[in-house]
This record gives sequence, C-alpha cells and structure tokens, in this order.
Amino acid sequence: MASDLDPARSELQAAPPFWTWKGLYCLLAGVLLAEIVLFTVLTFVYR
Amino acid sequence: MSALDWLVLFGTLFAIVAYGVWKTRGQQDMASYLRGGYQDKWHTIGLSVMATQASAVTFLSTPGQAYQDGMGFVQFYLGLPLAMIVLSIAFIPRYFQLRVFTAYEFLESRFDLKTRQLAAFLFLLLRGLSAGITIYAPAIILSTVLGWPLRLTCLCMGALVILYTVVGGTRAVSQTQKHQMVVMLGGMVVAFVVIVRRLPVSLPSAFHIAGALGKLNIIDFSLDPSRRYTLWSGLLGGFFLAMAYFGTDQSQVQRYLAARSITESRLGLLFNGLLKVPMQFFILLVGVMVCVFYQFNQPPVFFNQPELARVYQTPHAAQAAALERAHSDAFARKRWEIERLDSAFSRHDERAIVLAVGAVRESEARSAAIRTEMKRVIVAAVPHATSKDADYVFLSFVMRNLPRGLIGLLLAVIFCAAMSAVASELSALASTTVIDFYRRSLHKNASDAHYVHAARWFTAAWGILALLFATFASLLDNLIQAVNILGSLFYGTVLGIFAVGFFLRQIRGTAVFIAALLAEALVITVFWRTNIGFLWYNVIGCAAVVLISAVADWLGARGRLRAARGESR
Repeated sequence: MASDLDPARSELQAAPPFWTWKGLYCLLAGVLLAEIVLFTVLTFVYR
Repeated sequence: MSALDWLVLFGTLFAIVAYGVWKTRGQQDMASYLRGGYQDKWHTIGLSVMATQASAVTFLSTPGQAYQDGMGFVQFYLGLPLAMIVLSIAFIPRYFQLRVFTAYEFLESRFDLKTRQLAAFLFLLLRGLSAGITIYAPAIILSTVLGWPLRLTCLCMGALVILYTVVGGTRAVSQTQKHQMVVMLGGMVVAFVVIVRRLPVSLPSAFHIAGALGKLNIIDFSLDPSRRYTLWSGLLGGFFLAMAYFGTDQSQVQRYLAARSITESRLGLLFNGLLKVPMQFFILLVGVMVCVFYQFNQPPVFFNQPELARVYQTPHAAQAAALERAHSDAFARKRWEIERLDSAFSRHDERAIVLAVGAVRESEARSAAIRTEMKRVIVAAVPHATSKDADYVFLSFVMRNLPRGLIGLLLAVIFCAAMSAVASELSALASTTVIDFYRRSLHKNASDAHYVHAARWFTAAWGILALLFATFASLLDNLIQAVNILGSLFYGTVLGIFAVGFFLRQIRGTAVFIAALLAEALVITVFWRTNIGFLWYNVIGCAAVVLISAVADWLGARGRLRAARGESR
C-alpha cells in the first residue's frame, strides 16, 4: 500500500464544496426519477 | 476525405497527445505514475471516468442501434446513478483509508492473498483481451468505410496510446481524457445540429415521425426476463453491472483514486452519475435523427457498402441489383407516406394521422423485408460476410452527408474515444500486474523507481499484446464474442466478493473464495441452460456469492466450534 500522502481521517466527514452529501445524493436520485418520468412520457406521447 | 479533414483529425489527436506527454513527463515515484500524484479535481475525475467507459464503439454502434431498434438501450444506464451514490458512500472512503493502488489490495486486507489474486487475475484476463477488442472493433469499421488498411488503422490508434500511457502513466491518461471527452461531446453536438438543420421538417415533426417509426420506444415496463433492455433490468441489472464496473474494475477505480481528496473523488463519480444518462440519450437521439434524415434522403440498402460491392462480383449480382431497385421503389413510396404524415401532424388532423401512421409502418415493414432479403443474399454470396450493418450506419452517414472539416472532427471523436478507453485499460493492466503480482509475490521491497520502471515496461507489453490481438482478431470472430460474454459472466461474482468484503464483515476469506467458485459455476450454468438476459447475470453472480459465503462461513464456524469442544474434552 502507498505510504506517501495520508488523507486526514476528518476528510471522510468533509462536506462537499456546495450543499451537503445527502443533498447531492437526493439530487442525483431525483434527476434519475425525472429522467424516467420524461422517458415514459416521450414513449407514450410518440408511440 | 479532404485536406481540411486530415488536418482536423491529426491536428486534434496530436495536440491532445502532445499536451498529455508534456504535462506529465518525468514521473519517477509510484504515487505519481500509478495514482496521478493525487492532483485531479472532480471535473477531471468525472470526465476521465466517462471517457474510460465511452469507447469508440459507443459512438459508432449506439447511433446505429437507435437507427434500427429505437432508444430502448438508454435503459441499460438507469442503474448507474444509483451505483454512483453507493460507491461514493461505501467504496471510496475505504479505498482512500487503505491508500490502495488497486482495488484488489482491499481484498487482501479484508480476506487473504488468494482472494485478492483471484480477482486480480480475472481482471487481467478479461481486460487484457478486451483491450485488443477496444482497438479492433472501431478499426475494422474505419478501415472498411475509409478504405484504410486494417493493420495500419490499428497501429495508428495503438501506437499513440502506448506512447503517452508509457510516458505519463495514469496522470497522462486523465489529462488527455479530459480533452478527448470535450472533443467527443462537442463533435456529437455539432453532428446533431447539422443533421437537424438538414431535415426538411421541424424538430417536433421529426419527433412525431420517429415516434411513428417506433424509434421513441424508450421505456419498456415488461417483466419478461428474456427481454434484454427493460426498465427493471436497467435499474436492477444495470445497477449491479455499474457497481461491478465502477467499483471493482481497476480501469475505473484507478481513475477516481487519482483524485486529490475523497471529496473530489466522490464528486467526480456523482458528476458521472448526473451526465451519463443524458449523454447516452443524446447519442441515441443522434441515431434517431439520422433515421428521420433517411426518410427524406434515400439510404443505402446495406450500410456496409464494400461488403455489398463484393456481391456484384458474384453470380448473385442480378439478384442484388433487383433488390436495390425494389428498395428504391419502396423508399419513394415511404417518403410519400412520410410527407402525408407530416402534413397530417401540421393540420392536427387526428384521423389522417392514424391512417398515415399505419401506412408509414406498412412501408417501413416493406423496406425492412427488402433489407433482410439483401442480407440473406450477401451472406449467401460472400463467404464469411456479416449481415449486421448497424455499426456502419453513423460513419456511413458522416462520410456521405457532413461538410468538409466536420468529417475530420467526427473521425477525431471516434479515435479519441478508442484511445481514451484503451489508455485506461493499459494503465490499469500495468498497475495490477505490478502491484498485485510483481511487487506482492515476485519482487518485494524494491525502490519506487524500480516499480515505476517495471510499470512502464508492463504498460508497453500490454499495449503490444492488445495491438497484436487487434491485428489478428479478424481470424478469431468467435473469440471476440466469447470475450464479450466472458465479461458479463464474471462481473457479478467479482462484485459479490467485494460486496461481502464491504458489507458482511464477519465472513472470512476461505468462505468467500469457495462461494466465488460455486457462484461462477452457477452463472455459467444459467448462461448455458437458460435464455435470461445477460444483465441479470450480474445480479445472480453477486447474490450467489453473498448467500453461499454466508452459509459456508456459518458451516465453517460450526465446524470450528465442534473441533474446539472436542479438544476441550
């Protein structure tokens, strides 16, 4: 294993530069849900 | 191709490679060479991860797939964003805590050496073979359409990649990938704009026409496990596949281990999760727009034109000519029906729309039947001919219909995609060879400079092996198919080993090793005996490792307890 740089243990709890981790995960899941809804609408509108 | 196209193509490729080599020259320690010196920011990580996954086949085959079968393939990627979330929460912190160079080091710290080297060996086997395919698959298409010699095309792609990967290691890979990804996305956006501008109808009308042709069938709610792409197989099977690929495949793990911190690494993966589905949707949409374009402009009856030309040198020439004439007549009829449909759409005449859609579908079925017949003739006339021409649709469109300069740009997109994927593979193969085998079992306790030197040689060796494989791959068609199947057969098992390692902390190494062997036997049995879609193999393999290892560990624990009681008596 590498022995050079040691990311500080506090880095594990470090917040992202914008918003919070939970917020970002919810955003990503929300975008996925919106994409599925959009694709479903497109499928039914243009069938 | 015009001089401008050549200039754009080689100018783009050489500029990116020269930048990568210059920016990363003279690295002498392992942290720099194999982990990029912990310098990359989240956007570099995100683009690098995306570029690693997007091979040339993504840009050649995906539009062709949409042209023929519609946009259902996008469902394949729906599990990916969820996998990025799990990897960010569970995998990345552990990898950074252990400060590993390869994902397989984690397995030794958690289980034992044999489990680590089993997973590393499977990676080397699969990725070593697929590196050759990553070069060969686009080279065969480019050489066919452009009339270039196959070996020269392979050599052009392979030599440049080997050069900058050997010189700059993983940092050169991510630095070049950042720019390659910009070229790839930019090139596809330009292609989309040009196609839409060349359509004789508006974009909303183009969507209506595509819908009438059945190309906007994006979501399939079917529960039939034999259907390859459904919402459920995409969400569940795609999730497991993405977990396996991004979490345990060193070609991806190495990308985000190069981040300057855990935060940057996590953000890079989330960036990938955010952009991947829209990007694939967009590439498929380009294919659908090419399909609409060919409703107003006559497409070739068979897109692999050199293959078709060979038929005219055989006794089947008259049959082929008759089919080409029938195809032209069918096209004229279909075009008239399409214009009628467009007019009905613009008048919002529901009854006329229903009638016109029916007529268009009938015409489409007639054209498809003629194409199927032509494929039968080609296979009968030309020995070893392939009847699949979907991979040639987009490149054939580019060569015939894009203006000068843009042809060079789109070819640069394809070359960049091939090079970025191969570079990651070579770098990861060399890292795994050096870290998991050479340093661990063959040559312990040498200096950093020695291992960097070894990594350079292994990168070059894997590159030459991939080039040789690509050069002779045409002799091994069945092997190519086998490589593709092998990938999906093993990923679930490897993911299962990692899943036990991360989430079931009481299970020991021998139990998981036995479980991996049994789970693999189960997946292979499912492959031979059933027609279940390949995305489900990832779920089955992973679940089997988890369950069998839990049972094996429980039985082992009981055995140990009995033995201990026996001894105490």
